[in-house]
Amino acid sequence: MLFLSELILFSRLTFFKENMNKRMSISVLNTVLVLMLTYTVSAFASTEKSVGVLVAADSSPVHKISILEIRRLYLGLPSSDGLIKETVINLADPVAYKNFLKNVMHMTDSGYRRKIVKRIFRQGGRKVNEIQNIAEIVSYLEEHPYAVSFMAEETARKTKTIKVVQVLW
Amino acid sequence: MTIFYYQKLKQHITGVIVLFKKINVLMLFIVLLSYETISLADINLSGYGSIVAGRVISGDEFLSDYPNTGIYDNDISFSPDTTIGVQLIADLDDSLEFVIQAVSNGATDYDIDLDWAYINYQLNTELTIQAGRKRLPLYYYSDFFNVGYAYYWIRPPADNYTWQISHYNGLSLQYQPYIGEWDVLLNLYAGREDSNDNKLLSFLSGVPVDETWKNMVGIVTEVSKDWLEFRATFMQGQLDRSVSGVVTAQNVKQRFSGISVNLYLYKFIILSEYNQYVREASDIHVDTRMLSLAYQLGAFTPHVTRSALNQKENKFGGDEDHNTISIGLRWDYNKKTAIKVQFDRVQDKGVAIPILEDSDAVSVGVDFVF
Repeated sequence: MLFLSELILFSRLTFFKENMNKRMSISVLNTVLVLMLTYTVSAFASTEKSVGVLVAADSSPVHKISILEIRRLYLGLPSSDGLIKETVINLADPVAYKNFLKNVMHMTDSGYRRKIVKRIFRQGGRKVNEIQNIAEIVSYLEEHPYAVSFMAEETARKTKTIKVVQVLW
Repeated sequence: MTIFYYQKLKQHITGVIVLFKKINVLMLFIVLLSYETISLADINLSGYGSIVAGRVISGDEFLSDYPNTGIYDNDISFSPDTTIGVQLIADLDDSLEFVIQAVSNGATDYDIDLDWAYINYQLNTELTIQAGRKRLPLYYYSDFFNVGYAYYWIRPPADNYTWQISHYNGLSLQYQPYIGEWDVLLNLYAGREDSNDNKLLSFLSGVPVDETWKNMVGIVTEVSKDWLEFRATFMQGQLDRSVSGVVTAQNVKQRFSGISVNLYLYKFIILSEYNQYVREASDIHVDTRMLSLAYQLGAFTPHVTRSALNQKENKFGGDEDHNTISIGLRWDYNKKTAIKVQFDRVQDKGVAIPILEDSDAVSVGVDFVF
């Protein structure tokens, strides 16, 4: 859809180009094209930024599992192979948390909290760890090899002691 | 006048001291339990609490908590709805755990009761079996009635939650399969509960009443996703009752059924519940219903609710008919604390069995989890 609207815009600009003073029109067109290019590049850049990954300690035996199973783990249910024992919510990156809720949990923050509290006190569920600092998340994962968390891919790549288990969104 | 207020203040201070003494006992109990088991198992500790103050502003009394007989009158009181609960989960091995939840209610003079105490065995990732003491999952909020943080009211609508038995001792099987974005829970349970000098029945009848619910068999089905929650419940069993030591009912069949639908549409929340309780031999047919509407404005959730209980006059002359309109506001102060204020207007139309007559009440509270 983005490319289609850009094409329409481009054809309209071409039409204008024909009916305007040549020097003036080239100048305006160049400005518009530069703006469009900037917009397109920034759009691609923001898409890249929004990639989120599941991470674990470098030494962790945790391997790739289905998104459905990750969702269940973050609801406090056990994993099928019993390998992942703990989940950590990354509150250090609000964008990553928002994307996690949208793409993995398929629910809002209040809906998620409601489910977790109900599960803890009516089914004997465990609290899900919440950490508000990336360094602390990394440190926690290093100390707990059977724990996983999520973060932006860019952040994960910069951190040497953790590994990317899989792409989440 | 000064002496009157001094006495009231003294009563409140005494109440708070009693609360702290009980909480100390609770903490001691937790520490001892942790100490005993810490070398044997991993311990997971969590808890919740509600500190609520309220009073009746019109009428004489407001029964806010039926099972524990929490009653507000014309004086400000913290007792009827104030609750603190602590849950301990001890991992005995990868599949076996022990869960205990101790609760202290102001309405029961801060005595410590065990809401949950059971062994949980994980048969596989979707199936678990529990044995021990659990809350009786009749109504939608029965399981987490005491966890104020989990709902937007000060307490679940009182007209719906009028049951005299709220626990059972027995077996429970829980099945939670993978069905895409849908969360599914199927719960089968069986058990019994003996309640000597039952709080609610003894309060209503004015004499000691012993009540037993036995041979209970029930099923609960829940299907939910972010914007929808659907729950259906059914239970049948038998009842024994003795009033002042005289047996008035034995092996009387009873059944309970209910349905709940909750919708979370954009910022609107619609909660509904309809339940039926039937005891044919006593010609008792009770309908309870509730409809609530809320709107989420950032951290604020204003809400309005109407709930009702209706038991038609039967051949023994018994009737019970009351409804409540509640208006309130929940403010999520942070991710673990909510502040609430609520106004309740009760209309009591019961002729043969009036509960506590008409009343208006206001209450303010803080709910938290940890």
